[in-house]
Amino acid sequence: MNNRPSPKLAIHRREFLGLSALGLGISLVGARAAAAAPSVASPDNVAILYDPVKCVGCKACQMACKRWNKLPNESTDPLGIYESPRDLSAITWNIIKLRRTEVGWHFFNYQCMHCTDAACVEVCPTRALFHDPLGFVALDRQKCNGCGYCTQFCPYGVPHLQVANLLTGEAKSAKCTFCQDRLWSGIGGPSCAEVCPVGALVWGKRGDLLDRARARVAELQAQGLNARIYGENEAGGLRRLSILLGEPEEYGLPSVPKTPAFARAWQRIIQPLGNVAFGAALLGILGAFLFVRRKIRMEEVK
Amino acid sequence: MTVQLKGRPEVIQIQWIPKYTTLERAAHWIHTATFVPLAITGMILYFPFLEPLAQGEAGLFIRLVHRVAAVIFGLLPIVYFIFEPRRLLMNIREFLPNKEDLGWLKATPAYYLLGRHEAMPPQGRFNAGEKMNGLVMIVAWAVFGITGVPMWFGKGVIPPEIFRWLVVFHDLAMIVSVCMFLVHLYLAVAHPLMWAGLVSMRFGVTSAEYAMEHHAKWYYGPKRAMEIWEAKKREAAHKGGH
Amino acid sequence: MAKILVVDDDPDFVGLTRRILQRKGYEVVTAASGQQALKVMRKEKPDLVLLDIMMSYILDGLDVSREMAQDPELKDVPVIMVTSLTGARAEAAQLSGEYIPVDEWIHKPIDPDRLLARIEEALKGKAG
Repeated sequence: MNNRPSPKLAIHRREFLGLSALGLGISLVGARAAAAAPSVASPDNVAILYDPVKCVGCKACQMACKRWNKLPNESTDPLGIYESPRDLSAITWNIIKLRRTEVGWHFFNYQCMHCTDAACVEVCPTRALFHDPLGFVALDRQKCNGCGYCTQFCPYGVPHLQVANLLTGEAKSAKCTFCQDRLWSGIGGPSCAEVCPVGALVWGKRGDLLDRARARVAELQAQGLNARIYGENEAGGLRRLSILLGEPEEYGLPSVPKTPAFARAWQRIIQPLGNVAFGAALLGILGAFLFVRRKIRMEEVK
Repeated sequence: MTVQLKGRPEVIQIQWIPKYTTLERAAHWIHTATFVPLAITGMILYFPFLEPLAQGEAGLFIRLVHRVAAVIFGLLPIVYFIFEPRRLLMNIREFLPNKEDLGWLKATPAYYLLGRHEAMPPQGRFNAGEKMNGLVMIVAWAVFGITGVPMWFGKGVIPPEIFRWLVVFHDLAMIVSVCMFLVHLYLAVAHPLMWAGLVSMRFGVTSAEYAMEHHAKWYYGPKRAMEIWEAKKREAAHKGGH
Repeated sequence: MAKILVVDDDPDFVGLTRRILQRKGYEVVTAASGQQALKVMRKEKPDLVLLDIMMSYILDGLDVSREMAQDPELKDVPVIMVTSLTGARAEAAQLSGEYIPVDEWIHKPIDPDRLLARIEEALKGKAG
């Protein structure tokens, strides 16, 4: 052992480089690959446009969604009010609610906003939630493991967990999927938009729908209504565009959805930094191990 | 006990001093046996390259394992507190840092990397590094519990705004405690100077000579330990290094 | 009857020993560490000291017995060293090569009859 030739130094260097590569590799492999390119709201994406002025509150959209997705009825308190059920849930993915603005009482449809900067996609650890090339946020229930992060990070509170067992954590995420199965099999578009008898809920190319929405808003404003488009740029651009007759907050919608940024910071900054920490720890330990091996002789250890 | 290495004429006498009770040792190893699966199952939701393991049925199973281990992990210190409260309180007291721990920090490279024995000031029952490990673990245990239980039962109950912070802190606690664990593992298993550490955690006793060197304040008492160290430093200076 | 100082940081041991001694009629005072023991000793002037070795530090008991040996007021007080230290089987065990000035050794867990017998012997030795 004492007859080591002077390439002792060369071995040190080789080992050092190897360790650096190992440490760096661990950090990079762990880091969320930016190669999972962020979605961009393109005019060729599909989208839905909702116009509350045309909406008559018939709830055909609610029923069509239930029917196509084979969702069970939800039991609600018969309080004699029009909202039934009260809110989106694990088995209600499309809902008509009553809102009041300066215009007065009117209906408003709520469903998944299919964001570009989708917090749910960002935090999903299985990629069960993902952006379809057409732009909407699809859900692969097979992949979903029921962790529930999507339900907590969505700024609109859209996804809900279908909980089979709270103790074991068995659950599945549930939300409007833009009728992904209808689109993928070529049957058509979202049931809700196809069934709407008055054309309040329509679907098509996002670019076209935005043009229509702008024209419509101009028309409504000319009538003295405080109309605006919601979804053009929010969260990077939503694929569920809405015409609002008031402030977003009056509809329970955030004017600036903040959670996607929080979700991104968690996934793309904090976690990769954690990986750097792991890599550094492993690097340091391996380095120390090899260094100490040479430096401390067992005979001197008490 | 008398130890003779094969083929060597010398005989080593080892005096054993009790250090850890049976409950403490059992708790430590059960803690290890739950911490590792917890870290691994947690990491499956953390590292994108482990995605396939996180999906579908596999993912459900992983999360179930995480919960089962979490319950044991969480209850362990409570069981310890019920059966040996004085020991738990004594150990917590021994973990608390004091000014002298800075001396350990300064001496770390000289002692752990170069083996310079006289560089290290006398340590108590736990040296400053062990204190760091203990405190990190205690704080991490608390953070995991405080964040984990609502994460398990609180979806739809606690406001999502709070939930988001809980998962972030759960992550941070994991990062810190796993890094600490890796260092702890290396020192306990692979570092030549720390040989009696693993013996003491397996069998409950540590060698008197080891304690004399590594935990002198615990062995001799603070005053005499300092005197002995000053003498050692003077001797090393006279010899001009080791 | 004689006054005995029981020194141990384990309150269970102190409680048990106190009961054994008091039933025999001894007066019992206690201390939980080496420092405390010396203070109590100088105040209460016990006839015998039951001394645990390992308290706030491993050689706590040793330092107490050495200080007693150097103090003219305390050097004649008989000391019975109580130990749970494994490997110290021989009564004249040398711990780290140090000479420990005690009169008797006794090992934990203690046998009450043995303890009382040793105490009697030690007290008789002092008187005689």
